[in-house]
Amino acid sequence: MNTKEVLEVLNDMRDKGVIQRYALGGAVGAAVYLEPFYTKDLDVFVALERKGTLIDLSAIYSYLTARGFETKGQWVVIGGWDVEFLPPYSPLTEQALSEATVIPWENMRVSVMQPEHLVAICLETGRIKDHERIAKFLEQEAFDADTLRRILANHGLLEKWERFMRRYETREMT
Amino acid sequence: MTDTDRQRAEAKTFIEETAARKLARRRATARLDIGDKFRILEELHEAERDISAIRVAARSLAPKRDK
Repeated sequence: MNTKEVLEVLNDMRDKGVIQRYALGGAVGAAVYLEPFYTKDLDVFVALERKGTLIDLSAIYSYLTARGFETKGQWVVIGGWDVEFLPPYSPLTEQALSEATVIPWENMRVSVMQPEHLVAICLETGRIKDHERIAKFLEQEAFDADTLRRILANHGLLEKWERFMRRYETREMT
Repeated sequence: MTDTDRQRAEAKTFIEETAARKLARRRATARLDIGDKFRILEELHEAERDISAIRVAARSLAPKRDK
C-alpha cells in the first residue's frame, strides 16, 4: 500500500488541469481526525470543469489509464488502494469540497474535507456505516459542535441530526 | 463492605479505567501526524488482506460436507 502515490497522482492531476481540485472524504478523510480504522477503499471528491449540465469523469480515467493504472469496477487501483473518484452530488458535498482543509505533509499539500463536513455528509448519506462513523466522531470529540450545527442548519439537516442524537443517546444509556 | 458495595466499587473502577484508557488513546491519536495516520491505514489494510487470505485457505482445508 502506498498512500503517498495516490496523493502524488491527485496533485499531478490538479497541476495538469485534469481536475480543478480534490479532497479526501469517506473513511480515509475521517481517519485523518480519528483513530485510524480499517477501510477498503479511498474516496476522493473531485471538482471538474463543467461542460453543460453533464459531469464527465472521462478525463480522469483517460489520464490514469494512459499511465498504466488499472480500473476495477468503479475504482482505479493506485498505490494498492481502490480509489473512487466522486463528483460532488449535493450542495453539502460541493461546500465540503470547496472548503476542504489543506495539510502539509512531506513535500506535498494534502486536501482533506473538514471533520464537520464529514459528519454532515455521513448524516446526509445515512447508511449504518455512516452512523457508526458519526458515533466515532462523537466518542472521540473530533469536531466542533457549533460549526457542525451551522452546516447542518444551512443544509436542512438539523431535524435529522436531532433524530440521530436521540437514538445515539438512548443507545449510549443502555 | 457488602458484596453489592464491592461490585459497585469494581464497576466504578472499571468505568474510570476505561475512560482513562480512552482519553490516553485520544491524546496519543491527536499527536499523530497525517503521515502516521496513512501508515496505520496501510498496515490495517494489509492485515485485513492477510486475514482474508487465511480465511480462504482455512475454508479450502475444511472437510467437505456430504450431500
